[in-house]
Amino acid sequence: MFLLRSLSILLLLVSFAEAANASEADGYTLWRRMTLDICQRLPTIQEVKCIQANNGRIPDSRLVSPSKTCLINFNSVIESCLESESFAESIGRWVNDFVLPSQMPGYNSYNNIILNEVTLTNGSTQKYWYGRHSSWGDCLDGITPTQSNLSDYLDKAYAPYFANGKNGGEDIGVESDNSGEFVYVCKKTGDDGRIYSLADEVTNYENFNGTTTDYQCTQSDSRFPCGCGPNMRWCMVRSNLTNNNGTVGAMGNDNSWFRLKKQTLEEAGQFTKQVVLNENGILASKNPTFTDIFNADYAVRTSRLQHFYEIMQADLRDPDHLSDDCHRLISGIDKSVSCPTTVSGTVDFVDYTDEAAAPAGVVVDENGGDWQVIDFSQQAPEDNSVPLAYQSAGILASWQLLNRQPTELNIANRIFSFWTCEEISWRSNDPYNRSDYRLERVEENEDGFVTLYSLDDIQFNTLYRTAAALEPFEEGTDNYTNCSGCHVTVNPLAAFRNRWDQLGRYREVDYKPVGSINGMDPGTVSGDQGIFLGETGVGLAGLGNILAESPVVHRCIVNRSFERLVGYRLPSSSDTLQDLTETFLSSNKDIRSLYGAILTTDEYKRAR
Amino acid sequence: MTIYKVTLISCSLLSALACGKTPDVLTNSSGQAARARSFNVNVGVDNTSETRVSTTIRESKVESKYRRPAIRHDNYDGTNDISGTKMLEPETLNNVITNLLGEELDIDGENPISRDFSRLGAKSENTYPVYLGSLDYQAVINRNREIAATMPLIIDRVAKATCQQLITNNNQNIDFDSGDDEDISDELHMLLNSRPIDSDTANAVMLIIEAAANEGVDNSTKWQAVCTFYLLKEGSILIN
Repeated sequence: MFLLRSLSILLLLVSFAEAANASEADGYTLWRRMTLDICQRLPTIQEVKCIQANNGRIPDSRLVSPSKTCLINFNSVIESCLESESFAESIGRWVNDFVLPSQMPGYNSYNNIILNEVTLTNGSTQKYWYGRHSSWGDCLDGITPTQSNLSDYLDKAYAPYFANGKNGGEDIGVESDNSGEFVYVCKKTGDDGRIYSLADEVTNYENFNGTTTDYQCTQSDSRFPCGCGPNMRWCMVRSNLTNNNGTVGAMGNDNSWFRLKKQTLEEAGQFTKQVVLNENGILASKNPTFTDIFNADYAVRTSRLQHFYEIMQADLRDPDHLSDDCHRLISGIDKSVSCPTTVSGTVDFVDYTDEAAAPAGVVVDENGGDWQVIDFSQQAPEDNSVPLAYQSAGILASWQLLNRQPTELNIANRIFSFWTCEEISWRSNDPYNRSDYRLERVEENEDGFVTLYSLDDIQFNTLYRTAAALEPFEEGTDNYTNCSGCHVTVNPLAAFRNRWDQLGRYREVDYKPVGSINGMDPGTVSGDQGIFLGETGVGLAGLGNILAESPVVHRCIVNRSFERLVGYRLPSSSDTLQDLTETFLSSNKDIRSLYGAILTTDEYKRAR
Repeated sequence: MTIYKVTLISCSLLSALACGKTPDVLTNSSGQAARARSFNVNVGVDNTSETRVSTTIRESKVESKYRRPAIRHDNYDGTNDISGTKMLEPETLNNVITNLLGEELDIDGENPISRDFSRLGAKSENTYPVYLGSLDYQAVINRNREIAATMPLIIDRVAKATCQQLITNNNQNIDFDSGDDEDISDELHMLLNSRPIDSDTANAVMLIIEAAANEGVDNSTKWQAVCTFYLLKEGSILIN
């Protein structure tokens, strides 16, 4: 692998030693581009002087020593950068960008968890975790933005979104009441496909930096508790495990919710970083390939996060769910309460507030930064940390993605478009409309039954995109009278996640929600079989395997990597795309080799 | 050939670097902001002479009042969708500046580019990464990699702070007290703009140095102004 990368870079530098094409960027520009992209830094003065001494071209490393004019081996510089943690972190960010926005809107949507130390009036200091809203939500209800309350408006959330019907329907702009200038306060993909940015146009910078403050979330905030979204169960468990009505929970002190949340936000990025680091990271013994992010039989979690998973799964596996008392007993909030030993005995209690009492290997630091490998293959099948159906699913089984209802179409759309490079056809009048893939047509048939779907309403050519979609749909609905009959065809991702109900419960047994759907019994789980990209798999691990093995996904990874460095995607017929894909696959799907190869392409070297 | 405008502005060179108020950086020839077809970034100011050095960093064309202005690279030819303005991700920008300084950027006790800033209630808040293109909404899949109108505002502030820290700490071992202005200008240009200085830029730097001499500012302030000019030249600190 190392050899392959070296060869790629060597070819690159040899190519630069040749006569520069008129359309190519000069050596200074190119080296700056490479160091910024790969090394996360500017070129050094010495590197620039070397290029200057080589008539404006990046020196071929083979010529360095004989000429004695430059002691820098440019090949080694890039090689070293590709091996570095900062490069791996940048790839982790890239993947995290895919995971993070999957959060549901509402008060769970904090993508900025920060630790602040404040000085109290008595002179003492106290540390608080704060979450910054980065989603739209109820915080904007009733607010009519004007110039005078603009600052207050921005206080509440810096990326609010006006839902349909609120504050002028589709407009997402805020119009001042006197100047006629507009301020955009969120991002939106416009009809022209461009992403319009937060605060695109401002006339008074002070509006944006003068008075904004953090919104301190506490458990006492009436808007915070768990009736806020489809992931209620997770929320309840989390709340019971952390700060609950002022009681110190197992996960830490009075701001432990944010502490835990911060780790869940970082999980996919940390995992990816370790996969990229490969021989150098904490996964060295696993010798991972990049597509392990979809189907690894291991996870990278902190001890605190792992503990959370264990308790969470214990809850989800219990047909009746763990009672609040069980949560409180397991977490150590209250050891006097009653909970069946068959439940409470399955999860060890770890008091994260007491470092001295922590078991070996558990780090009780403020940031909980003890990221470590959780090897599922070494765990007993009945282990509570992860359900069988979700082992070997990489980031797909991360908290951020699991913590959603199975029919959360945003996730399905994101997985589809992000990893296949196929764009979802949104409705033109609402870029965030989810109903394209939802069975929304409701009508009564002659028997008086309510039909929740109609074949005419299903857009097979958008999400599903297979010509054979109709047949399996009919087969599915014939064979199954439950949710999976539809999910297996309409929303493939939901089919893979079929055992999770809309309360976030893992259904190993029947579960009938109040008001069951006519003609269907959501309590009967017929399996997790789904079809994605024309392949069939079982469970989230099945989906992960499909993604990991799919040529479509491989090419998409390559093309998105290319886009990251060059700025646009290659057409599917591109020879460059084909060559890069072959490089990626021949390097055992090593993302660093791929990036090294992209640097050698004419497109990358071209003057911009 | 690049033409550097020399006009009168309202704040002294010294105070512009240290006054701490929001600079009036987004202005066009009519003094209007934001919707300018072009705008200048002030790098040195002088209220006693007729001197200001500025550089046009982008053409701005407002397509409609609902749409952000497309701020494009000077070399934009209309045929390439990226047009050379591939913006650094804010995390990368933070790494680049940290590597440059040898420590984190510090503006009023915090690093506003970092996601984990340490102080509560600071003015900049933790919004810079959002302005610079990080994700902040569930339906946003791709980062914005093109420059929007607010970004020069942020970058102007970041550039000034970076230069203050860079010149003051001088961890790059440039001998700013050598007295050889040409040599220092060239080295600083290599460091910040990744290439030897060209004649146009050198001429512009000489204007800054002359203005600094007229104002009687100290050596550090002078090179901070040059540094800021370099970093803002064609938005170079922001784009790749």
